[in-house]
Formats: sequence, C-alpha cells, structure tokens
Amino acid sequence: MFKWRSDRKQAEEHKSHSLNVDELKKQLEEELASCSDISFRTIKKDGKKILTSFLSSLIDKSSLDEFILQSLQTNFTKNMTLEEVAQILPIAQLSASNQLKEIVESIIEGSVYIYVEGEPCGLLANVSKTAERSLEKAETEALVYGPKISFTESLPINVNILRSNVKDAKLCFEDIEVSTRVKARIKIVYIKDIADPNNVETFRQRISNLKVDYIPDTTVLGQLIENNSWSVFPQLMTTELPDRISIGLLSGKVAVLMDRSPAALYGPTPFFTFFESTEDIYMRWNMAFFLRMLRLTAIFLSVLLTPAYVSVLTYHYEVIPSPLLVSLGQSRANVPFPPVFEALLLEFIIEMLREAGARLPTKVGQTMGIVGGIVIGQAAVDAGFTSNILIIIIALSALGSFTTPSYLMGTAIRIIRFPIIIMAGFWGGIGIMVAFCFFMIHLLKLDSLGRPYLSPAYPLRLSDLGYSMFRYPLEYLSKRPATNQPKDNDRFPFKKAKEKKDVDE
Amino acid sequence: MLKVRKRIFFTVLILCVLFVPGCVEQKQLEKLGLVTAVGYDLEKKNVIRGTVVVHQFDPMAQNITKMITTTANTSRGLRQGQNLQSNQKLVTGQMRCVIYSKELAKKGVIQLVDALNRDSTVGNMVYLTVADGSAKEIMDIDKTNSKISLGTYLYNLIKQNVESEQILSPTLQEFNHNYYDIGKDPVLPVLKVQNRDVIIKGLALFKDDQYIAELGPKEHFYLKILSDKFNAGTHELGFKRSDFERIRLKKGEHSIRDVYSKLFIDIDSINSHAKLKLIDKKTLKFKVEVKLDSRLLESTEPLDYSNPSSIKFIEKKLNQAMEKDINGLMKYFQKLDVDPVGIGNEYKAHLRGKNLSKKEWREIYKRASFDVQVKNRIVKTGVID
Repeated sequence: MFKWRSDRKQAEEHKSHSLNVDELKKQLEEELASCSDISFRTIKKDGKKILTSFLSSLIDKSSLDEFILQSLQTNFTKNMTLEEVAQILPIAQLSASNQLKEIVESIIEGSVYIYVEGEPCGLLANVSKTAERSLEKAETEALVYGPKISFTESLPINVNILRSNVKDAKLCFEDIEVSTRVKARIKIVYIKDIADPNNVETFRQRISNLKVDYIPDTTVLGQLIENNSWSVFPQLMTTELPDRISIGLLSGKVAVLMDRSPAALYGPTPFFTFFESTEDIYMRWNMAFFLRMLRLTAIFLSVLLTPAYVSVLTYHYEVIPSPLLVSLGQSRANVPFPPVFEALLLEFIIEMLREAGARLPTKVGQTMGIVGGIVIGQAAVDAGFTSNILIIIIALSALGSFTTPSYLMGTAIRIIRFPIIIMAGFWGGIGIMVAFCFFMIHLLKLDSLGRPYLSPAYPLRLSDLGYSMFRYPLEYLSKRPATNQPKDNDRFPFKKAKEKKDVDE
Repeated sequence: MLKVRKRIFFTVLILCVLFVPGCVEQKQLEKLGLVTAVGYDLEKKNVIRGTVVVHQFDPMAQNITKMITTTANTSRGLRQGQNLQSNQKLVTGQMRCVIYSKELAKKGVIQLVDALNRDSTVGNMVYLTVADGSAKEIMDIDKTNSKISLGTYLYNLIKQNVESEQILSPTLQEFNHNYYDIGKDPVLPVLKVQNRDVIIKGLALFKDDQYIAELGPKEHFYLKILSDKFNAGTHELGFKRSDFERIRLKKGEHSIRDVYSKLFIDIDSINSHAKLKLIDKKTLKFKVEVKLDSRLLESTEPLDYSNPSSIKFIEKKLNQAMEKDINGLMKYFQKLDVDPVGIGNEYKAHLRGKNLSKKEWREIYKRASFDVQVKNRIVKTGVID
C-alpha cells in the first residue's frame, strides 16, 4: 500500500564488518556519519585492543562504566574467547553479531558494541536508557470512578501494566515486524483461548503488510490499517486506559501496543463501543444504564437539533407548538440572515471557540470561555445577529457531543452536523432525512476489523445489548459478547451466579 | 467503467443538491403572517365576510397580532383580499380556530369546511365553532382586549373544556367524520362575547351542515354521556324535597334550610358507558343503556349516607330522574330531526350490506322509539378533591 521507498540493495544487508579495530571504527563512523554523538572507547589490555562503540545520548553512562568498562578492565585476559568475555559482563541482554547492518541498528537503539580484536564477531550489550515519564492519571479519558493509571510512552512499562492487570498465563504478547524506515516496536496483545484467531490474524496481517516510513502513534497505526479511510467515523479505538484494554481482552478483543505511543489500539470496536466508558462497568448497573441512555440521547440531539431548527424555521412553520410560536418568531424577527446561515455561523463560532480553547494554556483558556460564553453569546443576540433560541440549541448540541467518552467520536459527531444543517437548509425535513439516511447507510456499510460496525443493533445480537447499548446487572453478563466471536463464550456459570450464598452453606 | 458511472452519479447528486432547492418554496417564519383564527360572516347574498387574526413578527410593531377583514364570494377569495392588506404573506399552517356566524351556519357551512379540508397546511385538529352573533364581534375582542392573542385564547378555551370533558371535541376531523358518516350529525360549541371576553355558551346542533338549535349546558351532560366514554363531569339534579324525607337527617345542627325550596344533588360521573342497541328492527325500538359510576359531591339537604339502603334509595331516585331527562332529550332530538348521538350508526350496523342514504335515515329516524335505562352506582360519598 504505502511504498514510500524502494527496497535497498540486498547485498548490503548481509555484510560482515572488518576485523581490524581501526577499520571497524572507520566503517562504523561512515555508517553513522550523521550521528554526531557516536563515541568510541578503546581499551588496551594484555596487548589486545577492545573497542566499545555506542551513541552517547542513548545509553546509560553509569552502567556502561560499571558493568562493561570496569569488568573488561579488571577481568579481561589475553586468551579469552568471545563466550568467556560474555561471561564476565554482568549484562542481561547480550548477543553476538558481526553484521554491520545489524550492529548499526542496535547501536541506534541504544546498545553498546564490544569488539575484541581478532575475534570473528563482537558482542552487542543493551544498556539503553530511554526518556520516560512516570505513570500518571489519564488525561484525555478522565475518570471519576475506577483505576486512574494510564499508559505511558514506554512499551515495557505498558506491557508491565497489562501483565499485572491480567495475570493470565494465556495472555499473549506477539511481536510484529513492520517494514518501516524507522523501526517500530509493535506488539499484538490477546488472550489465547478467548480471542478469535481471525481477529488476531487480521491485525497481524494488516500490520505486517504495512510499508510506511514512520508510524508516530497507535492512532496513526489505526488509520493505516482500518478498512475505510474515507469515513469520518473511527473504526478502531485507541485508549490510554489499561483497565479498558484488560476488560476488552477478557471479552475477546485484541489490542495493539506500540513503543513510544501512550495509547493502545484495540478492536473490534463497533460504533457503540465509542459511547462506553469504563466507569459504566465500575458503577452500579442502573446508573450506568441511565448514563448510557443519556449519552445516546445526547448524540441524537446533538446531530439533529440544529438541523431541525433550521428546517422548521425555513419550511415547516406548521409544526411549531403554539406556546413556542411567539418567542421563536420574536427572536427570529431581529435576525437578518436566513436560518441556515444563522445556524452555520453559530456552529462555526462554537467550533472556533472549542478549537481555540483546546490549543491554549489553561489560564488563557478560562478567558476564552468567558469571551465565548458572555461576549459572543449575549452580544450576538443583542446585536440581532442570532436568535437566543438558537444559542440554546447550539449550546445543547455542543454539550451533547462532549458527552461522548471518545474524543475522536465526539469530533466526528460534531462534523457530521454541518452537512446535515446544509441539507436541512436546502431541502427542509426531507434534507435531514436524506442526510441522516446517508449516514445510516454509511454506518451499516462500515466494519471494524471485519466485524459489522453497528454490531449489537444490526445484526441484532440481543445478548450483546447488555454490554454495549445498555448495561445489564453483572450476573446477567455470563456470556462474552458475540460481536467479538470469542473462542470461549462463558465467563461464569449463569445459574450459580444467581444463588446468593449465606454463611451457613 | 465503474469509475465513470460513479463519477456521473456523484455529479448528478451534487447538481441535485445545488439546484433542486431552488424549486422548494421557502417559508421563513419571520416573513410570514400566521393566521391563528378565522371568522366567517354572511355579509349579504353570495358574499361572505372573512376576518382573520394574524400573528406578525415585526420587531418594531407593538402589537404582535393584527386583524384583517375583507369580503368575497369564497374563502380563497377572502385569502387573496386579506393578503393585499398584509405586509407579510398570510399562511394558515398555525390556524387553531375557525368561527362561523350563526346566520351562516344556518345556511350550511360544508363548502367552507371543504375549503379547509383541501388546504394541506390546515391541520385536522383545528377547532370549529359557531358564534352566537357575528364572528367579527368575537374577533374584535382581539382589538379591545389587547392582552390576549385571540387564536391562542380560543384554542386554549376549547381545549381546556374538551380536556375537562365539559364539551365534545369540535375538531375538523370530528366534524368531517360526523358529517360524512350517515347516521350521525355534528355538534359544535357556540361562542359568545361576555364582558369583553369570549365564553362558551352552549352546543350547536347540526343537521348535516346546517345549524338547527342550541343545547344548554344541562342537556350537554347527557349528550356527552350518550356519545362518548365520559370520565369526569359534574351534573346537578333537582328533586322534590318530600321525595327524600325518608333518609333526611333531622337531628342536631342539621336542620332544614330554607334557602332552597327543592333538593339538589350534585353527582360527578367518574366512569360512564353508554350502550345503544336496536332491539326490534320492525318497530324501530332502540334500547339506550347507560351505566354510570359516580361520586356524590354535594346535596343541599343533610342526607344519611351511612346506610347502604339509603344509598340505594338515592341511586334509584337519580336513575329515575336521569332516565326521564335522557328520554326527553332523545325526543327533542327526534323532533328537531338531528342525530348527534349516532342512533343511525347503530341502525346501519343491522342492515347487513344494504346501503342507507341520508334521506332514508331521516325518514326512519322519525319513527324510532327509545327505551332508556340508567344504572347509576354511587361509589363514593365522602371526601372530594
């Protein structure tokens, strides 16, 4: 798909380096010419030269000094073989190599190359030190209730978190090679006897088939491997919450972790997954049920309220209830624009406010809120720019779109409003219907990892409704969602869950 | 191939989106004059006078409503004439109430109702009414009493009374149904101006589309019971004091009050069910069976409610009185040759496929006789809300 560069010459891939220390130095310098921080340290002991080469910015200096240089200086003797040298180095990750290409790649990743003159190959010791931040609270998916920990940019830490969340021997981390210019470390995560092998295979095949120069983040990876890249709707979900992934894994989903990316990608994630929050699971079912309904209603309102205003005021004045008639008419009478233009203008202002607020530091952001809320809202009505009823409607629909737990989906919802408003202005109620049907058909055609995008709703899977659209009491969720096609369907025996055990039993 | 076809499809779609909207007539709310109430009077032969109350949204204007009167031969002609007097386009989509003058209603209103039926923007839930005097007189209220907006006021006036089951629902749909249904006649409320306010005076009985007579509030109760499932509505019945001597409390504070010379009892029907039945097709005998559950709200004399037998006694008295009243009402309808109860419907149900014309029914109706039975059950005599 993405052929940014043609394959390099094969011959260069397998070239062993020179066995002379000085020549080797030259070769390495040549290969890493653009890395000004390439450093060499040559130790002479018992008449033998030992070369260590590394990128000084990537390695942990103290472990280099302590574990490599010091060990070599004290313990190295003349007749040592390579294996014996490896024995005296107290380093966990050690490998032998003489392939120039491989050595260069390892050095870029933070290894130290140790070469004893005269030996056929040298040792690669991993003493890399990467910049990491400490574990923090989730920022984009803030929670009130439940575990707060979030993924960081470091893959080992993320794996660590996931492993400690799901202490299951069947939890499988599978490394994937991606032929990119910048090497990406990608892991597919799934539970072997739960996840559908097809889902795993789809991920594996789509990722390994990629040919791109650089994948900066899992969100980009998601865009690269999803089926329909023309759609506004995200088909794979990224999350920064490890517990969300753990819950997903146990319900048969498959996740993808990537080094240097603070979010995990997972799938299959049908449409309604984007409206689920982990809080729904931590909360009591009735509250969660209410909140999910609230969210779905809010989305509906958010998408259809402004278009309805436009179409009613432009074409269908008959349907306005008589108590509203006077206030609607009076506030509209001051406005010089047609309703479509008025609505588009105000939606545009709200979007601008949001975008400006998102990019600004918190302190200035507050001022933005005041400017937006009071100055624009109040002044626009006073100046006869918009009707105050529209302001309420716009605010309501903006609010509605922010109830979505997924920021990506919230943005999608806000964007699809614009074509619907335009259609409402053109064709009235028929226009809304046409646009809405268009989006419905589009959603029906989409898929997430080959699974239907509107899954529990269409195709209707009644048993899954308790997981996604509604939220049933936990004892009724004894089967894993069929949308994920899990190998093992049962979470727990349903009958036993209904029994309430007392002490005397 | 496919790509070319797809491109053509999208081009056509985009062209549609761009150009088809030009064909749709825009009706922006603030550019419209919304007719909320219409009144029709008979000006002279062949000419009707139409008055409309119009909602206008002009930020400069002080009064949001405006009254426009013109004369023409048809209601469409009226609309054109009215449009010439308005700075905003007059539309009927928010029409709530139509008033016909009594004079006009006597001549028949079906051609005007038909004009409403043909107008797709006029809803089926528009209320039709008859003015006691002229329609213009009622519409003038909008000017003299500027605090109310007439269309909304009339709408609420009728709606409130329909919902509290004081009058039969006079919507356009109901009128059409009763008019086109052979064996039933429409009824509409009669409006009247009183103290610069519009009130409901009574019910107008129609024979087909022609006003025949007016029914007072008392008969109204019976008509409602007979033609509808009736849930709430109070009724006052007067009796001779001597009839209730047997169960009257005489002791203590309860002494005879001399304010009334008769004894009045108020009942509140909480549940009613009327059954019309053709017993004999040849002699045209109809059985009218009314079952009522009611509460006793008030009586002008202290009566003994504690004894079940005395409750039975009151029930019996009430039944007799109501039977007499209903019988009288049916006779009255028969005399006027109007059938608001829908006796004809019941007769038609026994015809088995034969057609019944309006004329035939009128002939048959004259010969019908009625056997009225009222079964009133007093379920509560205590605290009322």
